[in-house]
Formats: sequence, structure tokens, C-alpha cells
Amino acid sequence: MAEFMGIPLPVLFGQLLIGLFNGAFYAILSLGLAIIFGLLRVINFAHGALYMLGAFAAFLMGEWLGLSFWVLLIAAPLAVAAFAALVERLLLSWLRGLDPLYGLLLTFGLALVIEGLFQWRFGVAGQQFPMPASLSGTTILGPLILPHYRVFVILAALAVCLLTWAAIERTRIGAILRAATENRPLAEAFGFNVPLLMTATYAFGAGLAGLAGVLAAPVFQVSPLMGTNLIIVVFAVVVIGGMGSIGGAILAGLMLGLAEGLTKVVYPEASNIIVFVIMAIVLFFRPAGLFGKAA
Amino acid sequence: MKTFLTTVAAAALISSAAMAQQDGPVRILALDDLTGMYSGNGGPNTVRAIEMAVADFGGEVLGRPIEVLSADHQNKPDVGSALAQRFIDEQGVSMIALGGSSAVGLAAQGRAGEAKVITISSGGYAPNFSGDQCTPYSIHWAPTTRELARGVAGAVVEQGGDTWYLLTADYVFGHALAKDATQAVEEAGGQVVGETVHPLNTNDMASALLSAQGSGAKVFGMANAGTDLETTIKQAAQMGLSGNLAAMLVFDNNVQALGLEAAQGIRTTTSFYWDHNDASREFGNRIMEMNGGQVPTMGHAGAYASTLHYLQAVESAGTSDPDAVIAAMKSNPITSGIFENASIQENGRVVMDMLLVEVNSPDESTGPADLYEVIATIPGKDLFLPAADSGCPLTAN
Repeated sequence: MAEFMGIPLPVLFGQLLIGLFNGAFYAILSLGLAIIFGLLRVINFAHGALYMLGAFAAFLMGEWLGLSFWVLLIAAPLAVAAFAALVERLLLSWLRGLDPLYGLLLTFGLALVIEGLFQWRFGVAGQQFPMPASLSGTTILGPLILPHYRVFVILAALAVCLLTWAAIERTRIGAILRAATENRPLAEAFGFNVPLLMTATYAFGAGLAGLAGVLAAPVFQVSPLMGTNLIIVVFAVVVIGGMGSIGGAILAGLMLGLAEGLTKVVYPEASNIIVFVIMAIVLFFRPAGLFGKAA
Repeated sequence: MKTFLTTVAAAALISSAAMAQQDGPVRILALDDLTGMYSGNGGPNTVRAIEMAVADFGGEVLGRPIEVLSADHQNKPDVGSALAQRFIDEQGVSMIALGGSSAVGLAAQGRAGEAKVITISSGGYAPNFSGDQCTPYSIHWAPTTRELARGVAGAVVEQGGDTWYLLTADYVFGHALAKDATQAVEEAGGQVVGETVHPLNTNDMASALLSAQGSGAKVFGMANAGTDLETTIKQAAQMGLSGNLAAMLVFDNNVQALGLEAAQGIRTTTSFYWDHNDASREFGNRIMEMNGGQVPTMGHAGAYASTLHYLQAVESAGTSDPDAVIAAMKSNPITSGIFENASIQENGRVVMDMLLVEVNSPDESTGPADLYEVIATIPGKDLFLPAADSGCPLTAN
């Protein structure tokens, strides 16, 4: 059997698939962060809490209303987006024009409050979230185990990322968005409703986080702390990709998932610091990130 | 950032000067993971259990009121030992109840020992608490990885699961559990063929499970705990690998979180199950009434019983002087009845009978709190190390 660094290739392939699976979450989450930072100049520390909200929204709507997974996949992110729109209108909009540090502090505090409330209500133990029956199978190809749900998540995440990228780079709304990002006063002078655009953008970024939360629910813990565990890595991903770069966030997310997967095979002990090691190296050679433009 | 904020908050909260040791309130500090991955098996319910013990004791001892304080060490050793030091210096606490990550408990136990403050670990399972890092003032109420591993490994190897692959959490508790499991498996005639060491609080265990599966081992031994264990069991079920799992340390709250469907059939060793005897049922029912039906773990029961035992020792010694109290704790009988045949060795190790339990299937269970069937009682004297062999400097010859 062909080998790479003493690891049989099919085993390596299986591990890389798992890496890609985790990379898919990094990609969706960092994409949302990058979009929000791009237009609002807000470093959204509440992103992990929004991800958690997505999972809990799916869990609670499933419990109370008995909705199927496929409905939840749409409904839960919409609920998170609606919540985020309120947050943007009622809280974040007051901070426009101030130092980005204020937005960071507000969202950080918001995350603590949301997570604290859920911890108070649900405790830290994970909630049970059933996997959709149609995706719960596993295909075994020789030494390779392919859980269907994981493959589905990778494909779904790639589709969402590509659609978002295309919408921003190739459509009229995307063009307005980019215009407002580049030069807000000019975009306003052309008659675009920039405050509305900002609310919509924040809601969309939050909706992406919510979607990641729903996708995570059947595999990971649905627990109030699920976001805190992930958010720091996702920030590292955004920094590596280049702050505000949409394509950079997607590519960096997937690549770092793979790098982490590879580390889990070669030296598992280092798997939760490898992202930060890569971040340090990237920042040393390219301070603006891999795809970022120097300010 | 979180560490920094907590430190600032703690500094702001604790402003009163140190109290003299022999008058004023007797202060007990619950130093535990109150919000993180181990707050389910310790955490707020441990604080509840300690407060319950204080209330049952009458709220005062030697005419002095008893105060229960709590602090969140977040499973960070630096935070834990700094908090221990601060509460000793500024609040004059006379006993610290430890839970959460063993690495933190050991750091705090060391600090407290230097300051002659009694520590009782009801929620730390590394053998070091009553082994090489014991202090003259430390009591180890939680069973260690050695007893937990031996109870299960023997039974599994006997049933034919003789090749093991270990999934080990990368810190003192995980490594201790892996070492003890390896020894127990080998003594029972089995063999450990490989190991994946994963970081604490790992989100995705699929990669480690894949490595385990690739090794061809019949049994995947989980040398981890808390949410790591839940993640492993949940994801193994999704990959069709549940049948291979063996758990060394499962808490009642993990089983409740996973659901009986995913956890059924898992065998584990515990020092406490709420539905085992009259005393345990009374404690279990009372705490479940207070916390909305969360089944108490051996950590919670240990916190209750050990606080009661501590207060009785203060009363019988007639002083809160640590040397007199620790001597009384080691010589007085343990009376709560929750732990059977319990006594304290010279190294601070509490010896008690252990239970081998199996998780009920959804059909066998009669309610949300009916989690286990007790298969066997293992006498403590057969399972625990004698003090002289523990490596504790107090008992070394």
C-alpha cells in the first residue's frame, strides 16, 4: 500500500476529509466575519455566540415545533439573522464612526451575556440533537470510513461559500456593497441606503454563523460554550486570510482545516496550536495576511 | 483575555482584610470549574452540595458561623493557584474544596499545603493528589484513575476485548488514566496496541477514532472525561464504532447529556450512584429537587460528605487549627453513609467501596434519573493502593 510519512494513503485521505470537514466550518464562520468587518469595520466577537445561537435555535425549534432538519437548516439561520438585525439597529449602529475597539468591546460583552444566559438556562452539558435519518449512514470503502453527514456538510459549505463569493463579486447588490465598503460617502451620494445595507450585511454574516451552528448540531455538542471554543481559531483564520478579504477567508478556512487534519495524524498533541503557528509565520512574511491588501 | 478579566474581577471583589484564624467565621472555599467543560460533574452543583452540608450541620461550628465562598478557576492552573493564594491571604479560608481539572487541583493543593490550609479534592481524579504531590493537609475524596481503570479494564478483557487502543486527553489526568489502563489491561492478559493523545477540549474526535479503527484494536479505551468523552461517544456512534468503546470515567451528567440511546451498555466504575442506598437516595433526591433534576455525580456526593466530615472534625477537635482538624479527620469514622466502608489513610487517600455499573438501555430505564444498573460492588480494600505504596512523601519509609 502506498504510504506518506509512514501513513497508508487511504487512512491519510480519510483524515484529510475530516480536516476538510472542520475547515468547512472555519470557512463559513470566517466568511461571515470578513463580510461584517469589510463593510461595518466591526470585529464581531459575538460571532461564536451567534454560531451557538444557530445550534440552539435549531435544537429548540426542533423540540417545540417538531420541524425537520431541512426546514431547520433555513429557519434557524433566519432566526439568528433577525436577532442580529435587531442587535445592529439597537446597539451597533450607535458606534458608527467611533474607533473599531468600541465595536469589539460591545460584541465581546454581548457574547458573554448571551452565553451566560444560555449557561444559566441549559447548563454546560451538551443537548441531544438527532442526525437527519437520510444522512446518518456511513459508507465504508475498504479502510476508508465516509460518514454521509460529514460529506454533506463539506459540499453544503462549499456551495454556500461559492454562492456568497459570487453574489458579492458578480451581482449588482454585491457591487453596491463593495462600493460602500471602498468609499461610503460616495456610495451615499449616489443615493444608496448605506445604513440599511449595513444592517442587512450584519444580519447576513450572522445568518452564516447560524447556518454553521445548525450544521454543527448533529456532530458536535449543542452547548452554550460551543462558540467560545471555536471563535479564537476562526479569528486566526481571518487574520491569515487577510482581514476583510472574502476569498481569502474561504480559502484560508479550508486550508487550515486541512493543515489541522494533517497535524492530527502526524502529531496530534499540536493540533490545537498549529493554526496559531501558521498565523505567526504568515504575519511575519505577509503582515496583511495571505490575500489582504496592505493598508 | 478571560484570565486577565477574571483576575481583575477577583481583585475587585476581594477587598476585606484577612481574618484571624481562630475567631470570626469559618470559611470554606469551593474552587472549581464553575462554567467550563467540567462544571457539569463539579461546578455549581458542588457549591450546592457544600452549602447543603453546611446547612445540615446547623450553619455554625464552635459557635462561629460557617461561610461558603466559591471561585471559578476555569481549568487554568495559574488562575487556580493564584485564586487559592488570594482567598487564603485575604479571606483566611480554612478549607478548600477542589474540583475540575486535576492540573489545577494539584497546583492549588500545593499552594494551600504550604500555607497549612486543608484541601479536599472531591473532583480531581489524578493519583498524584494522594501520591507524589500529597501534603500533610490534603484529603483525596475522589477515586483515582487507578481504581477507575482497574474496575473496567478487568471486566472488558475478561469478555474477550484483549487488544486496546487508547484515546488520551493530553494532561495529567488523561496520562494517568492511560498509564493505569495500560497496566490493568496487561495484568488482565490483554495488550495496548496504540494511542492517540489529543488536546483537552477537542471539538472533533473523528480523526482519533479513525486512527483507532486503523490499528485493528478490538477496544477503544477512552482516557478522557467530560465533554471530550461525550464527543467521542457521540461521534463513534455516527461512525458505527460504538461497540468498540470502553469508558474509564463517565459521569452521570455525561450519560444524561448523551441520552441512553447513545450511551447504553457502557460499563464504568464509580464511587457513587444516587439510587444505591438510603443515604445516597436521600442526598440525590434533595439535590435534584434544587437543581431541576440534574443527577448528582460522585464529585457532588463527595463534596457533600467530605464537607460534613470536615465540620465534624472541627467540632470534635474543638478548634479550626489545621493540624488538629486533619488528625481528627483521619481518625474519626465517616458517618454520612453515602460512601460505604469509607476511611482515610495516612496519605489523605479516602478508601471506599466502588461500584461497577452499566448504563441502562432506554427500555430498562424507568425515568430520566434512572441511568445505571449496579452490577457489582468492589470492596475498597482490594482496589485502592496502600498508603505505603502511594509514593506520598508522608508515608515513605
